[in-house]
Amino acid sequence: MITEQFLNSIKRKLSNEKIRINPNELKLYANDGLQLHEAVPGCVILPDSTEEIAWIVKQCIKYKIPFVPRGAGTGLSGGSVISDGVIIQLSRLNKILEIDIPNRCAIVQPGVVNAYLTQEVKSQGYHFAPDPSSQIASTIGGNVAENAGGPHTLKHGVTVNHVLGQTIVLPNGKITKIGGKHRYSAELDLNSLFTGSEGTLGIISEIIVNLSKDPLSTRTLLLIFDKISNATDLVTEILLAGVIPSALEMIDQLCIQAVENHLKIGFPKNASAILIIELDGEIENVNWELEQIKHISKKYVSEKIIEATSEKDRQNLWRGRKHAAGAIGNISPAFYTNDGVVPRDKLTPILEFIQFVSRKYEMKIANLCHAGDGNIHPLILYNPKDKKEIKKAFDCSTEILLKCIEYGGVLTGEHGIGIEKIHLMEKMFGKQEIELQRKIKHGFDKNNLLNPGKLIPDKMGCGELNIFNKQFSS
Amino acid sequence: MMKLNQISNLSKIIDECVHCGLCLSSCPTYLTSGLEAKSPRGRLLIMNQIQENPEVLDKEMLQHLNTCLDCRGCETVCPSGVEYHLAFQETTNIINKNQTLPFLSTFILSEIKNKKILPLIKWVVWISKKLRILSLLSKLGINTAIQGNSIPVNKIEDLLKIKSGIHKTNQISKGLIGLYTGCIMNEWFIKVHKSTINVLNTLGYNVFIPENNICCGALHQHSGDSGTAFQLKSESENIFKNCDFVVVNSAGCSAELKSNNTKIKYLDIIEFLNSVEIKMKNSWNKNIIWDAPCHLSHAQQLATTTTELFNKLKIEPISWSGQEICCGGAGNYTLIHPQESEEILKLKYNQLLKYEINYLVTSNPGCHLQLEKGRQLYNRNFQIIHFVELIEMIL
Ligand SMILES: Cc1cc2nc3c(=O)[nH]c(=O)nc-3n(C[C@H](O)[C@H](O)[C@H](O)COP(=O)(O)OP(=O)(O)OC[C@H]3O[C@@H](n4cnc5c(N)ncnc54)[C@H](O)[C@@H]3O)c2cc1C
Ligand code: SF4
Ligand code: SF4
Repeated sequence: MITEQFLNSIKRKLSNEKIRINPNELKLYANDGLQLHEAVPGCVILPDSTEEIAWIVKQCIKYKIPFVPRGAGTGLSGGSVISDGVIIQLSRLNKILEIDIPNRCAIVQPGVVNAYLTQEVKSQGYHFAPDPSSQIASTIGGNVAENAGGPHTLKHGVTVNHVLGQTIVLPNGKITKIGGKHRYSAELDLNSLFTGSEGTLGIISEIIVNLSKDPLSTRTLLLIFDKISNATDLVTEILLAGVIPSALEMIDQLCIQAVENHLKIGFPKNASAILIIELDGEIENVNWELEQIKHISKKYVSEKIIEATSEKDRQNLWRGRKHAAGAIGNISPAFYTNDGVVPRDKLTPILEFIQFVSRKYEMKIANLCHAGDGNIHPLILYNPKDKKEIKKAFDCSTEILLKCIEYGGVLTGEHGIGIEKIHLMEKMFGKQEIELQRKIKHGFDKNNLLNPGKLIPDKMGCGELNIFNKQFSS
Repeated sequence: MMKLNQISNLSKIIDECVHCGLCLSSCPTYLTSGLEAKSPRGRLLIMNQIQENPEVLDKEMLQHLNTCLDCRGCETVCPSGVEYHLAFQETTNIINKNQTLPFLSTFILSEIKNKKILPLIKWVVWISKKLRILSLLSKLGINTAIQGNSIPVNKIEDLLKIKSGIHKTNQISKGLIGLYTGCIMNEWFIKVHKSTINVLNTLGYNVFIPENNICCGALHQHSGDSGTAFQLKSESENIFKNCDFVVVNSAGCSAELKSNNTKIKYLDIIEFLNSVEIKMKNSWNKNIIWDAPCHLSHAQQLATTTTELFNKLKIEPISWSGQEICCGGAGNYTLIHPQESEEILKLKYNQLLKYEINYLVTSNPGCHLQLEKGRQLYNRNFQIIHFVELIEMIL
């Protein structure tokens, strides 16, 4: 709970303008991209330096107030919301501090928008490889915290593969630096520990990221199917043949229709599914891969393969894919998606299971998949004004995620656990594994004030584990 | 009156927002403030608060809402197709029912409607420029002086109104085009109108110039005075009735005029130029940056058309990041929110200053004035010109 003393103490150092306490304004921070969970903070503070973050953290410890860092709030697992605590909003730390082409890296503040970094180095033939569909708005700090992936993860890796170093404000208010411009690590791999820790181990205030050279050639294909299983079966075959596309994305019919309603990309509205496949690299290699795909896909596709013939065409296809989730707003006032992962050869059965869940709960579910990674995104459509539907949406998702675990997959490919999937952690991990994670968290954050109740369940089996679930069963 | 029916659906529009946040980084006021309340997503929630409880308006939240430029950058990127500007307009109407507009807004709008103040400013600026008072005061950093100094009236010809009636082409005429002369354009940008007539004549069209100043009502519409906006728009219906179509060389006006059901066919100058054959006498070899007006790219979605036009003219503007973000001009925004406007301008110039250019090209008077203000503040030598002035140089 925010106290008078805390606010007075903060106001002594920071200008009023950086401290947001108007109750109506605080309501705007009640959600991130996950609409299902709401928590109104007690105060939002906007620091503009690492030192200021550290100072705020120390005040939070002094007054025992929970706090959470927030980037652009595009997260889909409720990671950056907090009830009554302090949101440390990092949007003003948005400078690219250094671009070092000879060492192929850049130093950025956490609030730099992912796509801005690529824009900045594009003319020199480089890009920042992690490309979540939210890249036009999500911050690099948020990407690191969630270990974000994207369509091109399949070949080029997720965020952790592109983080070289970090400056971190620890939950005790101390500032520490890990990694550096070099690509080797002498310590325990702290870079990997912090990447993907969902803002529970520290607040990242500076990041050294890897810059990737643009590929020599790129080919982008659109494959059309009259049966979803044909698309998913083809995915497995392509990878079996030794072809590693840079992206292998699937979109189903309902999702195609949402996209076409508003964006008019030119996706075939009556296809059961489409695959967007991108190949990149040396020209000869790409040509060979293209031939393989043409050959293998013959018995699966229902129409001739379409290839993007210009950069504009290619961008258009990607716009359709990257805006697909958001486009659901056209056909439903809200959607809820998880990002469960299954081993690739289980894609067909998991999509069939999603159909089953959809029929069982009488809820519409559209599907997007980073198919090459076995990473599903069932978009469950619901009416946010109908409590029963909210509960049903949540239950659909839980059933799907449990099936992912049963198939030998995991709870999340990229959106994180946050508060959304915390109730399933004990289903995923054994007691010992959870205990180990709790010990790590406790080692950094003895007071349990940094983003509490997220990612790692506080106490196994106790009621708190189900905070999220409780909200809807009442 | 279609539009009024369309916009009576505030909650439906707000519901279409899925809270994804993809619009945040396209919003100039979010970029400068980092505040959710100054982002499109946050503003839609503020609108919701207002519609749920219109009697109790929270001044601070209203202020956040009011600093919106109505630039519609958020609409271009919104995957869900949220028609933000309609929600914004309807909310502004609700607010205006519950409180009076600030004095400055009311004053500016009534003066524009009465058509008296613009010519007066023009002459005052010209005389002050001649006496070098403006440049002196501008150098001292006095904001109004810099703003005055941005008005492109330098020679006496820039002050003298164009003859009304038909300006004939010396070729076999391909048709009669009405030029939407507007209010600000017709007083402060006479130079641009002259270039437009010249270009249209050279392309083989007769051009009709109305006798009096006309106004599209955009500023009134954005301030929530839909009644006056509608009345102003209707006035031009008769004026152009003999023309084949009407060309508009201010993106703000073309966007506004097209938003109404009308018998007249309005075309933005960019659209028109892209639809006709252009034979160039000169090739282009200067460095330019094109700063697309929001009302062109976002409100009319003509970004691709502009790219096609540049390709057709074999002109390659420098590609730069930041062009899809508003410059902070936005009608009377500079006067009503000077501090926010200047912060946004700084954002734009932070990007612009990275390039060596000869010309900065735009096609809207508000942007022109704002960019010129920036040019003076950052002490740059390039020239700011309208798209038709660029065409005039190569025809
Ligand atoms: C339409 C849409 C599409 C998406 N597509 C993808 C996708 O393809 N791939 C993908 O991986 N994700 C995707 N996401 C999810 C989301 O965009 C990512 O998780 C993104 O990395 C979050 O960044 P953010 O800046 O919005 O962070 P926020 O949402 O603000 O925060 C996310 C988490 O990170 C923590 N955090 C933020 N900044 C810091 C920091 N500096 N230090 C420590 N912790 C911090 C927060 O506490 C929170 O727990 C999508 C989201 C949307 C709405
Ligand atoms: S992009 Fe559209 S749907 Fe997403 S938050 Fe912004 S307005 Fe809402
Ligand atoms: S119209 Fe412009 S200023 Fe207003 S919310 Fe949208 S992007 Fe921001």
